[in-house]
Amino acid sequence: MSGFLLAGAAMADEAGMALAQRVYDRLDGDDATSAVTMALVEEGRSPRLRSMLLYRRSAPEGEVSTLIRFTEPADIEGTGLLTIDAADGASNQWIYLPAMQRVRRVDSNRKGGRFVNSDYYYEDLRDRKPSMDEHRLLGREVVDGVECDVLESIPVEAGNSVYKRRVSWIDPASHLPLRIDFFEKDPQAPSKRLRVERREQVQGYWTVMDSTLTDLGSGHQTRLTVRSIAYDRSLPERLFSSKALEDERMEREFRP
Amino acid sequence: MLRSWLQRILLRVTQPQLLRRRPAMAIILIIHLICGALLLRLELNNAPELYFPSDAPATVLERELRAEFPNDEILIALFEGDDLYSSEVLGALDRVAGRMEAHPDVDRVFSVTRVDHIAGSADGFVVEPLIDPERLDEGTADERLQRVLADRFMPGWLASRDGKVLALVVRTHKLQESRQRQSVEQALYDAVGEEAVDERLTAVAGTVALDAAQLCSMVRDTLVFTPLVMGLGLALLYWVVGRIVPIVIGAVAMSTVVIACVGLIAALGLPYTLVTAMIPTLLSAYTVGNLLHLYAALKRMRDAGFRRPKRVVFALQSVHSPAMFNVLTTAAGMISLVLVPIPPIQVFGAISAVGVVVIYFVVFYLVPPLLVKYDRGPWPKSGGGFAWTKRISYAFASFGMRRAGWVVGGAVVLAVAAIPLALKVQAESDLLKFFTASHPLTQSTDRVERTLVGVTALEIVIDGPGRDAFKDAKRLQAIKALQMQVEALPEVDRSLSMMDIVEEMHWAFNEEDEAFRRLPDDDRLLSQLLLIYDGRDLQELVNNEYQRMRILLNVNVHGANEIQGVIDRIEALIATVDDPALKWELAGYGRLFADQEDLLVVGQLHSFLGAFGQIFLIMFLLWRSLPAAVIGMIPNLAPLFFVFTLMGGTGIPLDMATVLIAGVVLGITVDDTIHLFHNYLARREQGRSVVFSVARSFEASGRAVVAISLLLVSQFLLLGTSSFVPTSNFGLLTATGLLAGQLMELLMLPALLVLWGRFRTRHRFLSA
Repeated sequence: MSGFLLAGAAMADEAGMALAQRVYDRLDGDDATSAVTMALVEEGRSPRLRSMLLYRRSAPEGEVSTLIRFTEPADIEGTGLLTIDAADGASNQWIYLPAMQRVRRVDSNRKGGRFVNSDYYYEDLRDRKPSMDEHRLLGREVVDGVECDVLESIPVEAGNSVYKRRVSWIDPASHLPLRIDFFEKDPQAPSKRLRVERREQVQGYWTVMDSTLTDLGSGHQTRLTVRSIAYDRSLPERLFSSKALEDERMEREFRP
Repeated sequence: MLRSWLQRILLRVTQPQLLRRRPAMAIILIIHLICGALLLRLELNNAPELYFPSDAPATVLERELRAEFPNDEILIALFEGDDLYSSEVLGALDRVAGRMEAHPDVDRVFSVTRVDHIAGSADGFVVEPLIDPERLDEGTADERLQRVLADRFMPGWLASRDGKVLALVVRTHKLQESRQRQSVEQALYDAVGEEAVDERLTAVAGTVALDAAQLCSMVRDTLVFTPLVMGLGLALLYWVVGRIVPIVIGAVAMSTVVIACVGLIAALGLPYTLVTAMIPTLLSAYTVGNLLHLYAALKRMRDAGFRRPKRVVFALQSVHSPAMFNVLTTAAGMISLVLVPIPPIQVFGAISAVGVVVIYFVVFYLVPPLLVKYDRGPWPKSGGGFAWTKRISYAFASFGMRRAGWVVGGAVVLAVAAIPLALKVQAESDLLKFFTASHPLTQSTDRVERTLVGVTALEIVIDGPGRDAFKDAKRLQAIKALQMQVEALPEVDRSLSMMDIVEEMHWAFNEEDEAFRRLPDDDRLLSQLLLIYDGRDLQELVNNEYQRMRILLNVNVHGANEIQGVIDRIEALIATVDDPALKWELAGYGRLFADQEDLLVVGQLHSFLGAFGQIFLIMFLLWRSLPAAVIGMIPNLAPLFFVFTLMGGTGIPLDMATVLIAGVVLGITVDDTIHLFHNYLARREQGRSVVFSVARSFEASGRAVVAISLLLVSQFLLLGTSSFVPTSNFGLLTATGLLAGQLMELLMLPALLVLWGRFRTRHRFLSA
């Protein structure tokens, strides 16, 4: 998911725009299947762990579909979220609650809504085209021993993002942002910070295996750890349908 | 060796050396320069939290809560008109909200364009803006009105049911200073002005406005009344002494005392609150009183034909001993206030006690060299404008002596008759009552509560037995049942809890079927609804552990007693909830004030006993006689009783201002007793009769005592003209207490002395 997030995060001066485009175009396979652990970490308390499966498919015409299925803990097992980001930037989203056995379409244009009470906003999980922001290269800085390009991205239309600006530290080799600062209210003081803790090349694709998103106000953290990931498994289109969302059996065979 | 060393110190202290003029002036100048510079860093702050001890249970709970949940401090702006739902006005109000959200001290702004609306449809579920400010060109004003009124949470909170009122509620971060609150309030007025909706703004209320208004009143009173009280004191002093030079010297003395004490507050980094703001007026008034004792002695020495510097030295010697004990007793009265566990009152007590010592130092060390150097002219023979006070004091004393039994008996009868009134005094912390009924804040609050909901915030805090305690559907249903009972109380206008949000999600997920506007029965469904909730409101009502939740209440009463009544009723309802695993507490702004009532009552009792004990001990040490100390205390307790009777009769509560009065009045009135008793005992030691000794001491000291009392009473009465109720009550009641103390001093002290004399004679006769 972080890769998904990070790909969308990058984004005007010419060099800035070019870098944002390179980040967006970074190779990440036609599809990916991953088993992820989400840990909600609060100081002084034991982390709250959730397990989920993520299926992502990029269609040749530019549409990106994502299916998330929670597998643990028991009370939320089977809960699913399907997101389809069209090539034109439009987005559709559905939720399935097994306790109700019902799929519901949810508002996909909502800004600032929290994804399953984590520090991620739904906006962070969506495909964000480079053209939606103005990009500027701020310089170079070292992050975790890697000299990164520092890229500032400001929404073209203030209304299309909950953030006033984002600053990303991009590794020139992998084109992965190793750190992103998110600015919500105050354009000078970040409210959230994403850090990549570990990255690996899997099947030749650079993959964020472990990342932490910190709410800088409360100190609350959301850590995403990829337990396993597989690319290019030819995930079928039917896996990203309302029917598959409702019927877990349809995606079982594609589990990693 | 030690003994002779102590004796030298005692002699030095009891017989002050006359300082040279230059060192005295240098000290005065240095005090002004240093303390004047310190004034620049004086922190004007009357933040409500300053009034709560950091270890009080309500304060501890408050700190814990704010670490997890947002602050409950708000500023409410009320907009009225027939076109509020037009796209123009809603757009402007949304921009006002946007400007306010950009303020660094603002956490969140609630308005109909900035709150979520949970809705369901045939195939979907949506959490969307109630009124989308970006789509105001769509639909009509009437449609927008209907949408707002159909929302579960809006009517009565952000919108009135008749559609003519909209509110903007600004919630701040946890603020530490009143100036921050003033800044938030000013930002609101600026934003409203810039968006040209000021004509529709009809009320601004809430805790932020309350603190800002208090700071404003406090600063105004300090700027107006400190110079006025000083000016009045100097004018009356001139009337008494009839000479300009001693008045100028008096002004220098007052200024030195006041600037030193306010500078000390700044140096210690203590906040200058509405309570400590009374220190300058109190100390300047008390400085005039001490000066008058010195000037009266100076005049006697002039009349006796002494020339400079002897007349100043002799005057000093004649009043120094009682003056020193005055300082001790008055400081004891003031310092007793540190026993009131409310920090600004403790600061008032401690700084006033230091101030009294500073007054002693200024009047008996710094003023005399100036008098020696500059006071050259003749003093009026007639005795100035207060010449008639001598006749009055003597007339009262004569009556007291002649009708001793009647006076004491009458006082006892009056005291017994007044007990029911004195017992009616109620401790109360109602900050709104610090303002008159015509004050804009009082009227704004009334308007908000008439059109929307009460502004007092109370919170029911519930702790569950562990993580996910509130993902238990049955438990939530039981708590929801309690919430409904609480909401049915007439004082509770509105309640909000996580259960309301879950109910709304359940309803929306089921195509807005009213049958589902209830809590789910299934724990899994509850967990799943909670998982997918993506708004901000839930996190403000239950913590991330789902172990602690709060039910927010808007209560329409303000006083500590009324709030305590609501708390008692809620606690009675809580007692009926059958879930021993839950721990319940009442919190929020309202709880803090309800608890303050206990602090005031206990504090008043402790400070009174502290002052009484210290002053009694000082009198006992001074006269080395238990009966003398008892007789000395009785006329000083009477005015306190009178003040409490007056408070009980007129309904003036014991609050942050009136709790000061006992210590101040006891500390000041006891001065007269010491002067009169000192003279009386001196004559008795010379072998004079009781009646002669009483008569002569009232003749000698009565004039100064009466004149000083009238001076102080006039100065405190001046405070009574303030429109800020704490200042006004403090001034009026202190003046009343001092006046009553004066009457008791003139009537009862002679009567008691005569009765005591008779008793001793009879006792001796019987023993013989």
